[in-house]
Amino acid sequence: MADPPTPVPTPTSGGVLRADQRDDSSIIATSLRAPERFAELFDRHAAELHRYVVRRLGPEPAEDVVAETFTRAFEKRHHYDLSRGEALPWLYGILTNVIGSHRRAEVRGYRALARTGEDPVAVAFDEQVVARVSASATRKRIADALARLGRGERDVLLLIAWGDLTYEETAQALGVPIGTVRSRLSRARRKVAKALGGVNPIDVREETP
Amino acid sequence: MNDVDLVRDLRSEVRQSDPDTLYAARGRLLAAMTSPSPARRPRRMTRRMTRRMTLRLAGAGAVGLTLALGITVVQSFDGADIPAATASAPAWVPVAGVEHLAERATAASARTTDTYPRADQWLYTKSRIYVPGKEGTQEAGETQTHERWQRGDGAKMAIRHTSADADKGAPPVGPVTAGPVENSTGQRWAPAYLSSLPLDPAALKERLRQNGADRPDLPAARTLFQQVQQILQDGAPPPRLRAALYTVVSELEGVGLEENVRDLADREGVGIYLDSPDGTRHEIIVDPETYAYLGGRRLALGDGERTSQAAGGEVMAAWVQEARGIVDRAGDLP
Repeated sequence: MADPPTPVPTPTSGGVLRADQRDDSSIIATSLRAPERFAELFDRHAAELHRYVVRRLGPEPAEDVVAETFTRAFEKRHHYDLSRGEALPWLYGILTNVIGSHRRAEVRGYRALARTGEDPVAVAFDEQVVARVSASATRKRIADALARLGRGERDVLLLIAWGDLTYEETAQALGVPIGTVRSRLSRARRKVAKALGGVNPIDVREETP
Repeated sequence: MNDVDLVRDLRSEVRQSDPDTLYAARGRLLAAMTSPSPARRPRRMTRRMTRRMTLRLAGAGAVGLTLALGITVVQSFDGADIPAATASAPAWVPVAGVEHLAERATAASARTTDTYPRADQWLYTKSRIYVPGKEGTQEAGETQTHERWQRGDGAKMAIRHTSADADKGAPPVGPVTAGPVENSTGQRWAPAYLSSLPLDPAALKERLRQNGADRPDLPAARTLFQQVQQILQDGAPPPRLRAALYTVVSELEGVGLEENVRDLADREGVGIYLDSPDGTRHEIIVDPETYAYLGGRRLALGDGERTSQAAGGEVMAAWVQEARGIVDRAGDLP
Protein backbone atom coordinates (compact mmCIF):
# COMPACT_ATOMS: atom_id res chain seq x y z
CA MET A 1 0.00 0.00 0.00
CA ALA A 2 2.43 2.61 -1.23
CA ASP A 3 -0.22 5.26 -1.65
CA PRO A 4 -3.06 6.09 0.68
CA PRO A 5 -5.97 4.05 -0.58
CA THR A 6 -8.50 5.59 -2.91
CA PRO A 7 -11.97 4.86 -1.60
CA VAL A 8 -13.86 2.70 -4.01
CA PRO A 9 -17.19 1.58 -2.65
CA THR A 10 -18.82 -1.27 -4.41
CA PRO A 11 -22.46 -0.82 -5.37
CA THR A 12 -24.51 -3.91 -4.81
CA SER A 13 -27.69 -5.14 -6.36
CA GLY A 14 -30.87 -4.60 -4.37
CA GLY A 15 -33.45 -7.27 -3.86
CA VAL A 16 -34.01 -6.74 -0.15
CA LEU A 17 -37.67 -6.64 0.77
CA ARG A 18 -38.80 -3.55 2.56
CA ALA A 19 -39.02 -4.19 6.26
CA ASP A 20 -42.70 -3.33 6.56
CA GLN A 21 -43.68 -6.06 4.13
CA ARG A 22 -42.37 -8.78 6.39
CA ASP A 23 -43.50 -10.06 9.74
CA ASP A 24 -41.41 -9.87 12.90
CA SER A 25 -40.38 -13.50 12.87
CA SER A 26 -38.72 -13.18 9.47
CA ILE A 27 -36.76 -10.15 10.72
CA ILE A 28 -35.59 -12.21 13.69
CA ALA A 29 -34.77 -15.15 11.41
CA THR A 30 -32.72 -12.85 9.15
CA SER A 31 -30.96 -11.37 12.16
CA LEU A 32 -29.56 -14.79 13.03
CA ARG A 33 -27.36 -14.47 9.94
CA ALA A 34 -27.21 -10.68 9.73
CA PRO A 35 -27.46 -9.39 13.33
CA GLU A 36 -27.73 -5.73 12.34
CA ARG A 37 -31.17 -6.43 10.89
CA PHE A 38 -32.46 -6.77 14.42
CA ALA A 39 -32.58 -2.97 14.60
CA GLU A 40 -35.68 -3.15 12.37
CA LEU A 41 -37.55 -4.73 15.26
CA PHE A 42 -36.58 -1.74 17.39
CA ASP A 43 -37.85 0.66 14.72
CA ARG A 44 -41.19 -1.12 14.65
CA HIS A 45 -41.95 -1.55 18.32
CA ALA A 46 -39.74 0.65 20.52
CA ALA A 47 -42.11 3.63 20.55
CA GLU A 48 -45.05 1.56 21.74
CA LEU A 49 -43.01 -0.23 24.40
CA HIS A 50 -41.58 3.10 25.52
CA ARG A 51 -45.03 4.55 26.09
CA TYR A 52 -45.95 1.50 28.15
CA VAL A 53 -42.85 1.91 30.33
CA VAL A 54 -43.55 5.62 30.80
CA ARG A 55 -47.02 4.75 32.06
CA ARG A 56 -45.65 2.27 34.55
CA LEU A 57 -42.41 3.91 35.67
CA GLY A 58 -42.53 7.51 34.46
CA PRO A 59 -40.40 9.18 31.79
CA GLU A 60 -37.11 9.10 33.68
CA PRO A 61 -36.01 5.45 33.45
CA ALA A 62 -38.05 4.62 30.33
CA GLU A 63 -35.32 4.94 27.74
CA ASP A 64 -32.93 2.81 29.76
CA VAL A 65 -35.56 0.15 30.24
CA VAL A 66 -36.32 0.04 26.52
CA ALA A 67 -32.61 -0.17 25.61
CA GLU A 68 -32.11 -2.96 28.13
CA THR A 69 -35.15 -4.81 26.81
CA PHE A 70 -33.96 -4.77 23.21
CA THR A 71 -30.41 -5.69 24.17
CA ARG A 72 -31.72 -8.72 26.07
CA ALA A 73 -34.04 -9.58 23.20
CA PHE A 74 -31.11 -9.42 20.78
CA GLU A 75 -29.11 -11.81 22.93
CA LYS A 76 -32.08 -14.19 23.22
CA ARG A 77 -33.15 -14.04 19.60
CA HIS A 78 -31.87 -17.58 18.98
CA HIS A 79 -34.61 -18.83 21.31
CA TYR A 80 -37.46 -16.99 19.60
CA ASP A 81 -40.26 -19.26 18.39
CA LEU A 82 -40.21 -18.42 14.69
CA SER A 83 -43.74 -19.80 14.20
CA ARG A 84 -45.01 -16.66 15.96
CA GLY A 85 -45.22 -13.93 13.35
CA GLU A 86 -45.80 -11.10 15.82
CA ALA A 87 -42.95 -10.46 18.28
CA LEU A 88 -44.70 -7.87 20.43
CA PRO A 89 -45.88 -10.34 23.14
CA TRP A 90 -42.32 -11.70 23.37
CA LEU A 91 -40.92 -8.17 23.69
CA TYR A 92 -43.56 -7.27 26.31
CA GLY A 93 -42.49 -10.36 28.25
CA ILE A 94 -38.85 -9.26 28.33
CA LEU A 95 -39.92 -5.72 29.09
CA THR A 96 -42.02 -6.96 32.02
CA ASN A 97 -38.95 -8.64 33.49
CA VAL A 98 -36.89 -5.48 33.15
CA ILE A 99 -39.69 -3.41 34.71
CA GLY A 100 -39.69 -5.94 37.55
CA SER A 101 -36.34 -4.68 38.72
CA HIS A 102 -37.88 -1.20 39.14
CA ARG A 103 -40.84 -2.55 41.09
CA ARG A 104 -40.32 -0.44 44.21
CA ALA A 105 -40.10 2.78 42.24
CA GLU A 106 -43.23 1.82 40.34
CA VAL A 107 -45.19 1.15 43.51
CA ARG A 108 -43.89 4.40 45.06
CA GLY A 109 -45.33 6.25 42.06
CA TYR A 110 -48.78 4.72 42.51
CA ARG A 111 -48.70 5.39 46.26
CA ALA A 112 -47.79 9.03 45.73
CA LEU A 113 -50.67 9.40 43.31
CA ALA A 114 -53.03 7.68 45.73
CA ARG A 115 -51.94 9.93 48.57
CA THR A 116 -51.72 13.33 46.88
CA GLY A 117 -53.95 12.91 43.86
CA GLU A 118 -51.17 14.41 41.77
CA ASP A 119 -49.54 12.28 39.16
CA PRO A 120 -46.19 13.51 37.93
CA VAL A 121 -46.24 10.91 35.15
CA ALA A 122 -49.44 12.28 33.63
CA VAL A 123 -48.54 15.89 34.33
CA ALA A 124 -45.28 15.51 32.42
CA PHE A 125 -47.38 15.06 29.31
CA ASP A 126 -50.32 17.32 29.88
CA GLU A 127 -50.32 20.26 32.26
CA GLN A 128 -54.06 20.68 31.88
CA VAL A 129 -54.40 17.36 33.53
CA VAL A 130 -53.51 18.69 36.98
CA ALA A 131 -56.97 19.96 37.77
CA ARG A 132 -58.68 16.92 36.37
CA VAL A 133 -56.37 14.52 38.16
CA SER A 134 -56.72 16.09 41.55
CA ALA A 135 -60.47 16.24 41.12
CA SER A 136 -60.72 12.55 40.51
CA ALA A 137 -60.97 10.40 43.59
CA THR A 138 -61.29 7.43 41.27
CA ARG A 139 -57.71 7.82 40.08
CA LYS A 140 -56.43 7.89 43.63
CA ARG A 141 -58.28 4.71 44.43
CA ILE A 142 -57.11 2.93 41.30
CA ALA A 143 -53.54 3.97 41.98
CA ASP A 144 -53.87 2.67 45.51
CA ALA A 145 -55.19 -0.64 44.18
CA LEU A 146 -52.31 -0.91 41.67
CA ALA A 147 -49.84 -0.37 44.49
CA ARG A 148 -51.40 -3.19 46.48
CA LEU A 149 -51.61 -5.78 43.69
CA GLY A 150 -49.23 -8.69 43.63
CA ARG A 151 -46.56 -8.47 41.01
CA GLY A 152 -48.10 -11.14 38.78
CA GLU A 153 -51.55 -9.59 39.09
CA ARG A 154 -50.30 -6.14 38.19
CA ASP A 155 -48.33 -7.45 35.21
CA VAL A 156 -51.39 -9.22 33.81
CA LEU A 157 -53.78 -6.33 34.42
CA LEU A 158 -51.49 -3.73 32.86
CA LEU A 159 -50.42 -5.85 29.87
CA ILE A 160 -54.12 -6.11 29.07
CA ALA A 161 -55.23 -2.58 30.00
CA TRP A 162 -52.17 -0.59 28.88
CA GLY A 163 -50.38 -2.98 26.53
CA ASP A 164 -53.62 -3.98 24.74
CA LEU A 165 -52.54 -7.61 24.70
CA THR A 166 -55.13 -10.38 24.48
CA TYR A 167 -55.30 -13.05 27.18
CA GLU A 168 -53.40 -15.40 24.93
CA GLU A 169 -50.70 -12.86 24.14
CA THR A 170 -50.38 -12.06 27.83
CA ALA A 171 -49.91 -15.75 28.55
CA GLN A 172 -47.20 -15.89 25.86
CA ALA A 173 -45.51 -12.78 27.21
CA LEU A 174 -45.34 -14.06 30.76
CA GLY A 175 -44.76 -17.68 29.87
CA VAL A 176 -47.72 -18.88 31.93
CA PRO A 177 -50.86 -20.87 31.01
CA ILE A 178 -53.85 -18.87 29.87
CA GLY A 179 -55.79 -20.10 32.93
CA THR A 180 -53.24 -18.34 35.13
CA VAL A 181 -53.80 -15.13 33.20
CA ARG A 182 -57.55 -15.40 33.74
CA SER A 183 -57.27 -16.08 37.45
CA ARG A 184 -54.70 -13.32 38.04
CA LEU A 185 -56.82 -10.88 36.09
CA SER A 186 -59.96 -11.72 37.98
CA ARG A 187 -58.15 -11.34 41.31
CA ALA A 188 -56.74 -8.00 40.15
CA ARG A 189 -60.14 -6.80 39.01
CA ARG A 190 -61.74 -7.82 42.29
CA LYS A 191 -59.15 -5.78 44.19
CA VAL A 192 -59.65 -2.76 41.95
CA ALA A 193 -63.41 -3.01 42.29
CA LYS A 194 -63.06 -3.26 46.06
CA ALA A 195 -60.83 -0.19 46.14
CA LEU A 196 -63.53 1.65 44.23
CA GLY A 197 -65.94 0.83 47.00
CA GLY A 198 -67.87 -1.82 45.19
CA VAL A 199 -69.61 0.76 43.02
CA ASN A 200 -68.59 2.32 39.78
CA PRO A 201 -67.93 5.93 40.74
CA ILE A 202 -68.21 7.15 37.17
CA ASP A 203 -71.77 5.88 36.96
CA VAL A 204 -72.55 7.29 40.37
CA ARG A 205 -71.23 10.69 39.40
CA GLU A 206 -73.18 10.71 36.20
CA GLU A 207 -76.34 9.98 38.10
CA THR A 208 -75.76 12.59 40.79
CA PRO A 209 -73.88 15.51 39.27
CA MET B 1 -67.20 1.80 32.07
CA ASN B 2 -65.86 -1.27 33.82
CA ASP B 3 -62.86 -1.42 36.14
CA VAL B 4 -60.42 -2.45 33.38
CA ASP B 5 -61.53 0.61 31.39
CA LEU B 6 -60.93 2.78 34.44
CA VAL B 7 -57.42 1.39 34.70
CA ARG B 8 -56.99 1.92 30.96
CA ASP B 9 -57.90 5.56 31.43
CA LEU B 10 -55.23 6.11 34.08
CA ARG B 11 -52.21 7.91 32.66
CA SER B 12 -53.72 7.78 29.19
CA GLU B 13 -52.30 11.30 28.74
CA VAL B 14 -48.92 9.70 28.12
CA ARG B 15 -48.45 10.09 24.42
CA GLN B 16 -46.83 7.81 21.89
CA SER B 17 -43.09 8.33 22.20
CA ASP B 18 -41.17 10.38 19.69
CA PRO B 19 -38.48 8.45 17.78
CA ASP B 20 -36.00 11.17 18.78
CA THR B 21 -36.48 10.18 22.42
CA LEU B 22 -35.36 6.72 21.48
CA TYR B 23 -32.26 7.69 19.55
CA ALA B 24 -29.89 6.89 22.42
CA ALA B 25 -31.66 3.61 23.18
CA ARG B 26 -31.30 2.58 19.55
CA GLY B 27 -27.63 3.50 19.70
CA ARG B 28 -27.19 1.27 22.73
CA LEU B 29 -28.79 -1.63 20.91
CA LEU B 30 -26.46 -1.10 17.94
CA ALA B 31 -23.48 -1.00 20.28
CA ALA B 32 -24.59 -4.22 21.95
CA MET B 33 -24.94 -5.82 18.53
CA THR B 34 -21.36 -5.02 17.60
CA SER B 35 -19.78 -6.37 20.78
CA PRO B 36 -19.82 -9.94 22.02
CA SER B 37 -22.71 -10.68 24.37
CA PRO B 38 -21.88 -10.84 28.08
CA ALA B 39 -22.87 -14.48 28.18
CA ARG B 40 -20.21 -15.27 25.64
CA ARG B 41 -17.44 -13.36 27.29
CA PRO B 42 -14.90 -15.56 29.01
CA ARG B 43 -15.89 -16.02 32.62
CA ARG B 44 -14.05 -14.15 35.28
CA MET B 45 -11.33 -15.93 37.06
CA THR B 46 -12.52 -17.38 40.35
CA ARG B 47 -10.51 -17.64 43.51
CA ARG B 48 -10.08 -21.35 42.90
CA MET B 49 -8.71 -20.78 39.41
CA THR B 50 -6.42 -18.14 40.85
CA ARG B 51 -5.05 -20.60 43.38
CA ARG B 52 -4.50 -23.23 40.70
CA MET B 53 -2.72 -20.73 38.53
CA THR B 54 -0.53 -19.59 41.41
CA LEU B 55 0.43 -23.18 42.14
CA ARG B 56 1.25 -23.82 38.52
CA LEU B 57 3.38 -20.72 38.38
CA ALA B 58 5.06 -21.69 41.64
CA GLY B 59 6.00 -25.04 40.21
CA ALA B 60 7.46 -23.59 37.08
CA GLY B 61 10.76 -21.91 37.80
CA ALA B 62 13.28 -20.51 40.26
CA VAL B 63 11.93 -20.27 43.78
CA GLY B 64 12.68 -16.61 44.42
CA LEU B 65 11.08 -15.52 41.17
CA THR B 66 7.98 -17.66 41.50
CA LEU B 67 7.34 -16.55 45.04
CA ALA B 68 7.33 -12.98 43.90
CA LEU B 69 5.19 -13.86 40.90
CA GLY B 70 2.77 -15.82 43.04
CA ILE B 71 2.23 -12.91 45.36
CA THR B 72 1.70 -10.53 42.48
CA VAL B 73 -0.79 -12.82 40.82
CA VAL B 74 -2.82 -13.37 43.97
CA GLN B 75 -2.97 -9.69 44.73
CA SER B 76 -4.03 -8.58 41.30
CA PHE B 77 -6.58 -11.35 40.85
CA ASP B 78 -8.10 -10.98 44.28
CA GLY B 79 -8.62 -7.34 43.48
CA ALA B 80 -11.12 -8.60 40.90
CA ASP B 81 -9.79 -6.05 38.46
CA ILE B 82 -8.96 -8.55 35.80
CA PRO B 83 -9.09 -6.95 32.40
CA ALA B 84 -11.66 -8.52 30.11
CA ALA B 85 -9.63 -11.11 28.29
CA THR B 86 -10.46 -11.85 24.70
CA ALA B 87 -7.67 -14.31 24.05
CA SER B 88 -8.35 -18.02 24.20
CA ALA B 89 -4.80 -18.70 25.36
CA PRO B 90 -3.24 -16.81 28.27
CA ALA B 91 -1.85 -13.56 27.00
CA TRP B 92 1.54 -14.22 28.59
CA VAL B 93 2.22 -17.10 26.22
CA PRO B 94 4.08 -15.46 23.32
CA VAL B 95 2.79 -15.84 19.80
CA ALA B 96 5.04 -18.35 18.09
CA GLY B 97 4.35 -17.52 14.46
CA VAL B 98 1.87 -16.06 12.02
CA GLU B 99 -0.13 -19.28 11.79
CA HIS B 100 -0.27 -19.45 15.56
CA LEU B 101 -1.54 -15.87 15.70
CA ALA B 102 -4.19 -16.64 13.07
CA GLU B 103 -5.30 -19.77 14.92
CA ARG B 104 -5.72 -17.88 18.16
CA ALA B 105 -7.60 -15.05 16.48
CA THR B 106 -9.91 -17.64 14.91
CA ALA B 107 -10.50 -19.37 18.24
CA ALA B 108 -11.19 -16.08 20.01
CA SER B 109 -13.77 -15.01 17.42
CA ALA B 110 -15.36 -18.43 16.88
CA ARG B 111 -18.38 -17.80 19.06
CA THR B 112 -19.08 -14.25 17.93
CA THR B 113 -21.23 -13.08 15.06
CA ASP B 114 -19.88 -10.61 12.55
CA THR B 115 -21.92 -7.43 12.34
CA TYR B 116 -22.15 -5.18 9.32
CA PRO B 117 -24.03 -1.91 8.83
CA ARG B 118 -27.54 -2.19 7.45
CA ALA B 119 -28.06 -0.89 3.90
CA ASP B 120 -29.08 2.53 5.28
CA GLN B 121 -26.43 2.71 7.99
CA TRP B 122 -22.84 3.78 7.68
CA LEU B 123 -19.52 2.19 8.55
CA TYR B 124 -17.31 4.80 10.14
CA THR B 125 -13.53 4.40 10.06
CA LYS B 126 -10.84 6.77 11.23
CA SER B 127 -7.35 6.31 9.89
CA ARG B 128 -4.13 8.17 10.39
CA ILE B 129 -1.69 8.00 7.51
CA TYR B 130 1.93 9.09 7.39
CA VAL B 131 3.11 10.03 3.92
CA PRO B 132 6.85 10.71 3.68
CA GLY B 133 8.35 13.67 1.82
CA LYS B 134 9.47 13.17 -1.76
CA GLU B 135 12.35 10.75 -2.14
CA GLY B 136 15.72 12.39 -2.49
CA THR B 137 14.55 15.73 -1.12
CA GLN B 138 14.62 17.27 2.34
CA GLU B 139 10.85 17.67 2.25
CA ALA B 140 9.28 16.58 5.51
CA GLY B 141 6.62 13.92 5.60
CA GLU B 142 3.04 14.67 6.52
CA THR B 143 0.50 12.95 8.71
CA GLN B 144 -3.13 13.08 7.69
CA THR B 145 -6.30 11.92 9.38
CA HIS B 146 -8.91 10.33 7.15
CA GLU B 147 -12.42 9.80 8.42
CA ARG B 148 -14.73 7.91 6.17
CA TRP B 149 -18.40 6.96 6.25
CA GLN B 150 -19.30 4.16 3.86
CA ARG B 151 -22.97 3.37 3.50
CA GLY B 152 -23.90 -0.25 4.15
CA ASP B 153 -25.10 -0.80 0.59
CA GLY B 154 -21.82 0.56 -0.75
CA ALA B 155 -23.56 3.14 -2.94
CA LYS B 156 -22.52 6.28 -1.06
CA MET B 157 -19.61 7.58 0.90
CA ALA B 158 -18.52 10.68 2.79
CA ILE B 159 -14.98 11.62 3.72
CA ARG B 160 -13.26 14.15 5.92
CA HIS B 161 -9.55 14.68 5.59
CA THR B 162 -7.55 16.61 8.15
CA SER B 163 -3.89 17.40 7.82
CA ALA B 164 -1.83 17.54 10.99
CA ASP B 165 -0.63 21.00 9.90
CA ALA B 166 -4.16 22.32 9.49
CA ASP B 167 -5.72 24.68 12.00
CA LYS B 168 -7.36 23.12 15.01
CA GLY B 169 -10.96 22.13 14.63
CA ALA B 170 -12.33 19.51 12.32
CA PRO B 171 -13.45 20.73 8.90
CA PRO B 172 -16.99 19.88 7.81
CA VAL B 173 -17.62 16.44 6.39
CA GLY B 174 -16.86 16.34 2.70
CA PRO B 175 -19.60 15.89 0.15
CA VAL B 176 -21.43 12.60 0.15
CA THR B 177 -20.45 11.05 -3.13
CA ALA B 178 -22.91 8.85 -4.89
CA GLY B 179 -21.91 5.58 -6.47
CA PRO B 180 -21.20 3.74 -8.56
CA VAL B 181 -17.56 4.67 -8.26
CA GLU B 182 -14.96 3.41 -10.70
CA ASN B 183 -13.16 0.44 -9.30
CA SER B 184 -9.76 1.11 -10.72
CA THR B 185 -7.61 -1.34 -8.82
CA GLY B 186 -9.86 -4.34 -8.52
CA GLN B 187 -9.49 -4.16 -4.75
CA ARG B 188 -12.67 -3.90 -2.79
CA TRP B 189 -13.65 -3.47 0.83
CA ALA B 190 -17.18 -2.03 1.05
CA PRO B 191 -19.34 -3.55 3.83
CA ALA B 192 -21.66 -5.25 1.34
CA TYR B 193 -18.68 -6.87 -0.34
CA LEU B 194 -17.11 -7.97 2.95
CA SER B 195 -20.34 -9.51 4.20
CA SER B 196 -20.45 -11.59 1.00
CA LEU B 197 -17.01 -13.12 1.63
CA PRO B 198 -16.78 -16.70 2.89
CA LEU B 199 -15.31 -17.26 6.36
CA ASP B 200 -13.63 -20.51 5.38
CA PRO B 201 -10.00 -19.51 4.71
CA ALA B 202 -9.55 -21.69 1.60
CA ALA B 203 -12.77 -20.38 0.02
CA LEU B 204 -11.89 -16.84 1.08
CA LYS B 205 -8.46 -17.12 -0.52
CA GLU B 206 -10.03 -18.35 -3.75
CA ARG B 207 -12.54 -15.45 -3.79
CA LEU B 208 -9.79 -12.91 -3.20
CA ARG B 209 -7.67 -14.53 -5.89
CA GLN B 210 -10.53 -14.21 -8.39
CA ASN B 211 -11.20 -10.59 -7.39
CA GLY B 212 -7.51 -9.73 -7.67
CA ALA B 213 -7.11 -11.34 -11.06
CA ASP B 214 -6.77 -8.00 -12.81
CA ARG B 215 -3.34 -7.50 -11.27
CA PRO B 216 -1.42 -10.10 -13.29
CA ASP B 217 1.73 -7.98 -13.02
CA LEU B 218 2.21 -8.89 -9.37
CA PRO B 219 3.09 -12.26 -7.83
CA ALA B 220 0.01 -13.98 -6.43
CA ALA B 221 1.25 -13.85 -2.83
CA ARG B 222 1.88 -10.12 -2.99
CA THR B 223 -1.47 -9.38 -4.59
CA LEU B 224 -3.26 -11.35 -1.87
CA PHE B 225 -1.21 -9.72 0.86
CA GLN B 226 -2.09 -6.25 -0.43
CA GLN B 227 -5.76 -7.13 -0.83
CA VAL B 228 -5.88 -8.29 2.77
CA GLN B 229 -3.96 -5.23 3.91
CA GLN B 230 -6.41 -2.94 2.20
CA ILE B 231 -9.50 -4.76 3.44
CA LEU B 232 -8.17 -4.59 7.01
CA GLN B 233 -7.39 -0.89 6.77
CA ASP B 234 -10.31 0.40 4.70
CA GLY B 235 -13.01 -2.19 5.28
CA ALA B 236 -12.40 -2.58 9.05
CA PRO B 237 -13.78 -6.13 8.97
CA PRO B 238 -15.45 -7.63 12.07
CA PRO B 239 -13.56 -10.27 14.12
CA ARG B 240 -14.44 -13.50 12.33
CA LEU B 241 -13.69 -12.25 8.85
CA ARG B 242 -10.61 -10.55 10.24
CA ALA B 243 -9.36 -13.85 11.67
CA ALA B 244 -10.03 -15.59 8.34
CA LEU B 245 -7.99 -12.89 6.59
CA TYR B 246 -5.11 -13.42 9.03
CA THR B 247 -5.28 -17.13 8.20
CA VAL B 248 -5.13 -16.42 4.47
CA VAL B 249 -1.96 -14.31 4.80
CA SER B 250 -0.42 -16.74 7.31
CA GLU B 251 -0.38 -19.39 4.59
CA LEU B 252 1.34 -17.24 1.97
CA GLU B 253 4.88 -18.12 1.04
CA GLY B 254 7.50 -15.78 2.46
CA VAL B 255 5.31 -14.39 5.25
CA GLY B 256 6.94 -13.89 8.65
CA LEU B 257 6.22 -12.49 12.09
CA GLU B 258 8.07 -9.64 13.72
CA GLU B 259 7.56 -9.09 17.43
CA ASN B 260 7.46 -5.86 19.41
CA VAL B 261 6.74 -3.47 16.58
CA ARG B 262 5.16 -0.08 17.16
CA ASP B 263 2.52 1.42 14.95
CA LEU B 264 2.10 5.04 13.96
CA ALA B 265 0.04 5.67 17.11
CA ASP B 266 2.89 4.14 19.16
CA ARG B 267 0.87 1.08 20.11
CA GLU B 268 2.81 -2.15 20.47
CA GLY B 269 1.88 -5.11 18.34
CA VAL B 270 3.22 -7.93 16.23
CA GLY B 271 3.94 -7.41 12.54
CA ILE B 272 2.92 -9.89 9.85
CA TYR B 273 5.30 -9.07 7.01
CA LEU B 274 6.02 -9.93 3.41
CA ASP B 275 9.18 -8.73 1.68
CA SER B 276 9.13 -7.53 -1.91
CA PRO B 277 11.88 -7.89 -4.48
CA ASP B 278 11.94 -4.09 -4.76
CA GLY B 279 13.55 -3.96 -1.32
CA THR B 280 10.53 -3.06 0.77
CA ARG B 281 8.78 -4.86 3.56
CA HIS B 282 4.99 -4.62 3.87
CA GLU B 283 3.71 -5.15 7.36
CA ILE B 284 0.29 -5.71 8.97
CA ILE B 285 0.38 -4.81 12.67
CA VAL B 286 -1.90 -6.76 15.01
CA ASP B 287 -2.56 -6.52 18.74
CA PRO B 288 -1.31 -9.93 19.98
CA GLU B 289 -3.78 -10.05 22.86
CA THR B 290 -7.05 -8.93 21.30
CA TYR B 291 -6.10 -9.71 17.67
CA ALA B 292 -7.45 -6.32 16.70
CA TYR B 293 -5.97 -4.87 13.55
CA LEU B 294 -3.87 -1.85 14.50
CA GLY B 295 -2.36 -0.65 11.25
CA GLY B 296 0.49 -1.25 8.85
CA ARG B 297 3.68 0.18 7.45
CA ARG B 298 6.15 -0.09 4.64
CA LEU B 299 9.81 -0.30 5.51
CA ALA B 300 12.98 -0.04 3.48
CA LEU B 301 15.13 -3.14 3.65
CA GLY B 302 18.09 -1.11 2.45
CA ASP B 303 19.21 -3.23 -0.47
CA GLY B 304 16.54 -2.87 -3.13
CA GLU B 305 16.32 -0.72 -6.23
CA ARG B 306 13.46 1.45 -4.94
CA THR B 307 15.11 2.07 -1.60
CA SER B 308 18.63 2.94 -2.66
CA GLN B 309 18.28 6.31 -0.96
CA ALA B 310 16.68 4.99 2.20
CA ALA B 311 18.50 3.39 5.09
CA GLY B 312 17.51 -0.11 6.11
CA GLY B 313 14.63 -0.13 8.58
CA GLU B 314 13.45 3.35 7.63
CA VAL B 315 9.67 3.70 7.66
CA MET B 316 8.56 4.74 4.17
CA ALA B 317 4.86 4.92 4.93
CA ALA B 318 2.67 4.03 7.87
CA TRP B 319 -1.01 3.97 8.64
CA VAL B 320 -3.21 3.07 11.58
CA GLN B 321 -6.86 2.49 12.15
CA GLU B 322 -7.91 4.54 15.15
CA ALA B 323 -11.64 3.90 15.27
CA ARG B 324 -14.42 1.98 13.62
CA GLY B 325 -18.13 1.73 14.27
CA ILE B 326 -21.60 1.62 12.79
CA VAL B 327 -23.59 4.86 12.80
CA ASP B 328 -26.96 6.01 11.49
CA ARG B 329 -25.89 9.10 9.57
CA ALA B 330 -22.82 10.22 7.66
CA GLY B 331 -21.01 12.62 9.97
CA ASP B 332 -22.05 10.79 13.17
CA LEU B 333 -19.37 9.31 15.39
CA PRO B 334 -19.78 5.93 17.08
